[in-house]
Amino acid sequence: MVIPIFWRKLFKKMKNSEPVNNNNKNQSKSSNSYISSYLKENEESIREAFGNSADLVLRKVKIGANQNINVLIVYIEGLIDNKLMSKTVIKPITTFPDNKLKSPSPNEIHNKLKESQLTVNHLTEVYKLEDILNKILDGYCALIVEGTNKALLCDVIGFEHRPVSEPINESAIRGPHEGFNETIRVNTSLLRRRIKDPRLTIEELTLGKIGNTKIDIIYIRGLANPKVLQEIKNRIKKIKDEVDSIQLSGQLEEYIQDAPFSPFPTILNTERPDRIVGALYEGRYAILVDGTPYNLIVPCTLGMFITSIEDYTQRFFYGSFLRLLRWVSFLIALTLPSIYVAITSFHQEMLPTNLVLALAAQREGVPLPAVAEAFMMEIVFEILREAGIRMPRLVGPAISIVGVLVIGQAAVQAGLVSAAMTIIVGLTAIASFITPIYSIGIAIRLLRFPIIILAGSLGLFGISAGLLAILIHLTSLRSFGVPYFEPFGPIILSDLKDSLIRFPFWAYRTRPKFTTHNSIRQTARLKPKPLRQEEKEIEHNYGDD
Amino acid sequence: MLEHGKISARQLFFILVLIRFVPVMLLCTYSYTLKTVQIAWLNDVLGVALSLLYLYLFVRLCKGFKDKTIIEYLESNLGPVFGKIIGIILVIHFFIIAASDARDMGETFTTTIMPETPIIVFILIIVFLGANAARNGLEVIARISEFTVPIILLFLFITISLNYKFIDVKNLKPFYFPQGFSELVQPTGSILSLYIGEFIIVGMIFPYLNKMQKCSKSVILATLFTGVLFVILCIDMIVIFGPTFKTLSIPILSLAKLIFIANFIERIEGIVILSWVLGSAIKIALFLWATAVGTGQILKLKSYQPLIYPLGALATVNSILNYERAADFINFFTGPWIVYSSTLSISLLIILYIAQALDKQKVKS
Amino acid sequence: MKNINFRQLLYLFLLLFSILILAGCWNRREIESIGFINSVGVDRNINNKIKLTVRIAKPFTLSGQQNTNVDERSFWLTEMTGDTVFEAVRNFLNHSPRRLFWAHNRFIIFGEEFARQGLNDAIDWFDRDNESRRTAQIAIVKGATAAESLQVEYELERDPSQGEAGVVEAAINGQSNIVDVKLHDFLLMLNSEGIEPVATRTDLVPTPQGPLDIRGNLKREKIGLTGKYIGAAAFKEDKLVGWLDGKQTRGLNWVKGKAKGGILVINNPKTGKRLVSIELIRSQSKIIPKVINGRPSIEVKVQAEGNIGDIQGQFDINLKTWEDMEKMMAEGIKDEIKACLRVAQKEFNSDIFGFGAAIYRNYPREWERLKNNWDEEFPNLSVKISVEAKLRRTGLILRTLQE
Repeated sequence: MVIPIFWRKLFKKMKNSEPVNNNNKNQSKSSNSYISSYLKENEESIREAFGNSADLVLRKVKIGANQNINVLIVYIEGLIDNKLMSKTVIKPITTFPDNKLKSPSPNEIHNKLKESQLTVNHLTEVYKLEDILNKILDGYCALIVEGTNKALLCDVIGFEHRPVSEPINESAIRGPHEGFNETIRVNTSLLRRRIKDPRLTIEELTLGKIGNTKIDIIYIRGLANPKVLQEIKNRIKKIKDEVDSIQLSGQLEEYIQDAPFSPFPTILNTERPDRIVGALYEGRYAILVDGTPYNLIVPCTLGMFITSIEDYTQRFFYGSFLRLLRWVSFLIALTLPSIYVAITSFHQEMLPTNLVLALAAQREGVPLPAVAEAFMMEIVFEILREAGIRMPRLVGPAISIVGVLVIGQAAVQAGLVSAAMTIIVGLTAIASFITPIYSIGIAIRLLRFPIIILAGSLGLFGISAGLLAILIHLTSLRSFGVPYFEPFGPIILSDLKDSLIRFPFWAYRTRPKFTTHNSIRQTARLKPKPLRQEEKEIEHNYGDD
Repeated sequence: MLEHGKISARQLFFILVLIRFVPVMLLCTYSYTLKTVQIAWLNDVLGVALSLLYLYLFVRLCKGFKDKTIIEYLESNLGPVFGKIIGIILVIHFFIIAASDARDMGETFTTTIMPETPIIVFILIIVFLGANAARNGLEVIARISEFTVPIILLFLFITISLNYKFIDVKNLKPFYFPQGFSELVQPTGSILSLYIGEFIIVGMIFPYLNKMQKCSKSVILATLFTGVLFVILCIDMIVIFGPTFKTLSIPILSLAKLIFIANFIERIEGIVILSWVLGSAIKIALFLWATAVGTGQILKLKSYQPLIYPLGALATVNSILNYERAADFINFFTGPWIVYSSTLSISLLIILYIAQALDKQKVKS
Repeated sequence: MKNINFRQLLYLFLLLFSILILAGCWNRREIESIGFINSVGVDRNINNKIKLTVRIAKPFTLSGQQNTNVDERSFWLTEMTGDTVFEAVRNFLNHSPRRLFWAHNRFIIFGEEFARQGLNDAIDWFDRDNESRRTAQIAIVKGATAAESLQVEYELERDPSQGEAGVVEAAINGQSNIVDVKLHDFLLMLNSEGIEPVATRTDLVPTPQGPLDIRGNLKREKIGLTGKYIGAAAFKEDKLVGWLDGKQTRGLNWVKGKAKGGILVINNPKTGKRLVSIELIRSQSKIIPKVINGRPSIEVKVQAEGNIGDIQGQFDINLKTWEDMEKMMAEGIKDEIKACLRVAQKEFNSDIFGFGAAIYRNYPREWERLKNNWDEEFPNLSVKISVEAKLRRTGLILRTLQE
C-alpha cells in the first residue's frame, strides 16, 4: 500500500508544522510567555490579554490544609456549561480532602487535582499562557494552582447552539432528515456516526490572524488522493495568516477556488451530511468551517450539482428519470427565454404555422421588442424572487399576490407584455428552482442574461455561440485537478453510470476515475438473483404444515 | 514541448470525425462536382478507400516522430533550412484550412438563415470562440469535440431518419457512367483531397497522444466511420433528392427543411444551425492551434498561446479577402484545392520517407 | 481561460458587446411585424408580366385575444406584378406594411393560363429562396386564374389555407383521386429522366347564392367561392397539357403505388345489377420494363387490398362470391389505369407514369437511344397491366340474414 505510507509521512509533516504556525497568533504581549508561579502575575497578564473583557471570569478559590493556597479559575462566561462546571470543577476543588496530605505543596495539589480529584472528562496540562488564552476561547476553563507554573485545562464546553435539524434548503422526501448546524464538533460527529471507521481522518486547522476559525479537512485515508490534500493545504496555507478570519464557507470558497472569475462554482457547498459522506466514499475531501452549516466538498464536478440524495433513495429508474429531468431543466433554465427571443425575432420559420400565428397575435401591440421584453421580465422575476427570500415571513403572501396579479395578469391585459412571455419566464423560473444546489442555480441565472442578449442580436447563431463559449469554459475548468465537466468532456465511460442517468447500486463497480487511485469499489457480481425454485416452494409451503 | 496536454486515442478519433463532418454540413462543394447523381456514393467509397491507403502509410511514418511533431521532425532530419521551408508550407496549409473553414461557415449562414447580416460578424465570432478554445490547449479542444460529436451525430441521425416519407429507392438506379469513368475523377478527388489534406494534422497531434501505438487504429477507424457515414448520407441524399441533389448548395439544410411529420415534428433546422456553430468553431480551433504550435516550433518560441489571437485575426482577414464571391470559394474547392492538397499531401509522404531514411542513417552512425 | 486577467476580460466583453449591439440592427424582425403568407397564386397579367397574388394571414383575427372579431376575414388578399417572381415579391413591400414571409407558405397555385405557358419562369425562386420551402403544395386551377382561386373560403376553417390543406390531406388519404405533389416532388419529376410531372388540380365551385342560407354561421360574410380538389394536372416538361379526372388520377396513383384509400364500386356478383362498394386500404405497384430488339414494352403489376364496405341487395358471402368480387375489383382497378393510360398516351402524349424512367433505370444504354424519340414511342408503347386484388375483411357484418 503506497498511499497510506505516503499519507502518513505527509501527516507527520503536518503535525510538526502546526504548533509553529500557532505561535504567531494572539498578538498580545503575554502570548509567548510561560505561566508564572505568581498567581498575581498570571491574573494580570490574562486580564491584559483580554483587555479586561466583561465576560472574562477570574475566580480565586482557597484550597489546602490551611486554606492558604489560591487556585485561579479562568473561564469565559457563556462558552461554558455552568452546571457541568460547578459539578466537575468547583465542587471537587472546594471539597478538596486535606486529611491525607497534611500540608500539601502546590505541586502536590496540582497533581492530586489532575490525577483524581477533578471529575471532568477531558483534562490537559499546559505551561504556556498562550494555550490558556486559546483554550478558554473554545470554552475550556483553566485552573492554576498558586505556586506552580503550569495550568490545567478542563473541558466544560457548553455554549448555546442550534440543535441538529432538517436541512432547510436541500430537502429530500426519502433520505436522512439531519442537516449540519453551526457547530463544527457537532458536524464532525454527524459524519463520524455515518462512517464508523478509523480511516476517517479529520485534520484541524485554525485560520485567520484575528478570528481563529476552526477548519476541518475530512477524508477517508486510502481512498482520497493525497495530492489533492496537499493542494488544499497549500491553498489554505497561502491565506492562513493573511486573512482576518473566515466566517463563512463561501468566504473560504472564494479564497481557494480554481477559477475566480468563473460563474460556475468549482467547490460544492452542502448542508447535508449524507451528501458529504457520499463524496468521502468517492475519495473526495470535505472542508468543514466552524460557524456555518454549509460545508464544502472538493474536488467536484458539474454533475454533482445536479445530483440530489433523492436520486439514490428512490428506485433507480425513478432516480434516472429525476436526473434527466434536472439536466433538461438545467438547459431550459439556461436557454428557454433566449430560444423564445431568437425564434420570435429571427427564425419564425422554425415554428409550426399555427403556433407562429398564435404567437404573432399575442405580440400584436406589445411595445417592446422580444429581447427587451424577455430581459425586463427576467429582471422583474429576479426582483420578485429576491424580495421573496429577504422579506419577513408574514409579508410573503403579499409579494406573491402583487407578483401574480400586477406583474402577470395586469401587464398582459394591458398589452405591455405578451402572454407567451410570461409563460416562458414562469417556466424558466420553475426550471431554475429544480437544481438541488443553490449555487449552480445562481450560475444559470447569471448566464441567462448574456445569452438573451446574444439571442436578441444574432438569433440561434448567438445562442449556439454562447453555449459553445460556456462549453469551452466548462471543459477548461478544473476543480483541484479534476476536470470539472467530467464525465462528459473528457468522456469517462465508467463514470457515465452516475451522470445523466443513475445505474443501480450493484452496477457501481468503480469509484470516479479522477478522485481516487483506489478505484475498485465492489465486485461486479452483486446483481440480486431471485431464489432458486425449490427454496421458493419451501417458503410457500411454510404455512401449510 | 509547447503543448502540455495529452489526449487519448478515442479523443483523436472524435477530433478527426469532427474535422470531416464540418465541410459536409456546411456549404457543400462536393455536390457541385457531381455529374451523375445516382453513382455519387461510389465517389465516397473510392475517396475513402484511397484516403485509407494514404493515411495508413502516413501514420506509419508518424510513428517515427516519437515525441516530436511533424514540423520538429522534419527540421531535425532534413536540416534547418529545408525542414523549415516545409514546416512553413505546412503551417500555411493549416492556416488556409482554418480560414477557408471560417469562410465556409460564414457563407453558409449568410446564404441561409441570416442574409442581411454581414459575413464578418459570423466569422469574427466563430474565430474568436475557436481561438479561445485553442488557447486552452489541445486537451480542451479534444474534450469539446468528444462532447459535441455525439450530439452532432444524433442531430444528423434525426435529420436523416425523419425524412423516410420522401425516400424513393428507385433513384439509385441506373448504375452506369454516361460520360465514362472520367466523371469519377473530380468528385473522388474532392473527397480524397479533403481527407488527406486535413488529416495531415495527425502529424501535429501525434506526439501529444497518451498511447501512441493506438494512433493508427483511431485514424483508420475515423476514416472508416466517416466514410461509412458519408456513404449512408450520400445514399440518403440520392434517394430523397434524386437528380436535384447536385443543385443543392447545403444539402443537409435542405434535408432538415423537408422534415414534416404529423404537423408536429417539422421545421427543425435549429439543430443543424447548432451543429454548424459547434463543428466549425472546433475545427477552426484545432487548425489555429496547429498553426500556432507549428509557428512556435519553427521560431523556437517558449509558448504558443500569445500567437493564437493574432493568428485568429489574420484568419478572419484572410477568409474575407481571399474570396470575393461565393463562386470563388466554390471554384477554389472544386478545382485548385484538389490539385494543391493532393500534391502537398503526397509530396509530404515522399519527404517523410526521405526524412525517415535519414533518421535511420543517423541512428546507425 | 487560464491566464486571463480582469482587464482582458473587460476588453473582450466590450468588444463582443459592441458587435452585438451592431448586429442587432440586421436581420431582426419581430414576429408581429411580419406578414405570414399562407398561399401564393402565380399568373400573368395582360402585359405578360408575372402577377403574384398572396394571401397573408392576419394573426390578430385568429387568436382568442380581446380584439378578435369573428366577422373579420382572417387574411388579406393582395396582388403585385413584376417581370420576375422575385421582383414582384419585392414590389409588395411598396404597399404592404408588413414584410412578407414565405416560410409558412403552404400552397403555390398557378392559373391555367400560366401553367400552359410553362412553370419554369416561376418555379426557380421558390426553390432558391432561403425562406421558401420545398414542402409547399403545387396546385393548378382549372379554368381560372390563381388570383380567383385565392378567393376561396371554407365554412369550417377561418383560415382558407388551413381548409385547402385539410381537403388535400383528406383526399389523398381517403380518396387517392388527387395527386400529392409538393414543390419537392414537382422538381424531382421535372428534372428526372423519363417522367413528366403532374400537379394537384383544384376547381373553383361557386357556392349557391339564395335567400335561404342553411350553411351555418350567419354572422360571417357570404362565401362566394369554395375550392374542390379532385383530379390532377398533367404536364409535359414544365407546360400544362391537360387535366385528369378523379378516376384517371386514381389510375395514375395505382401505377405509381401511391393509392392509399378510396372507394371502388363494383357490381353485385349475385344479381349483377346492384352494387358493392369496396374500401381500398393499400396498394403496391411494380413497373417492369422490357426492351426486346430495341422495342420497349412495359408491364405494370399492381397489388391492391380492400375491405367490403357496403353491399346493396345483400347476399351471402362465400368463397366463390368472394373470389368473384376480387376479380371485379381487379377489373375495376384495371379500368381506372386504362382510362388514365389512354389520355396520357393518346391525348397528352406525356409520360406521367414514368415508364421512360423505368426503362432508363434498367436499360440506361437503350434509353440513351430511346429518349430522343420518346415522344413517338410513348403513345404506342405496349403496356400490360396485371392487377392482383385482395379483399380482406367484411366490416361488422359477416353474413346476411336473408337473401
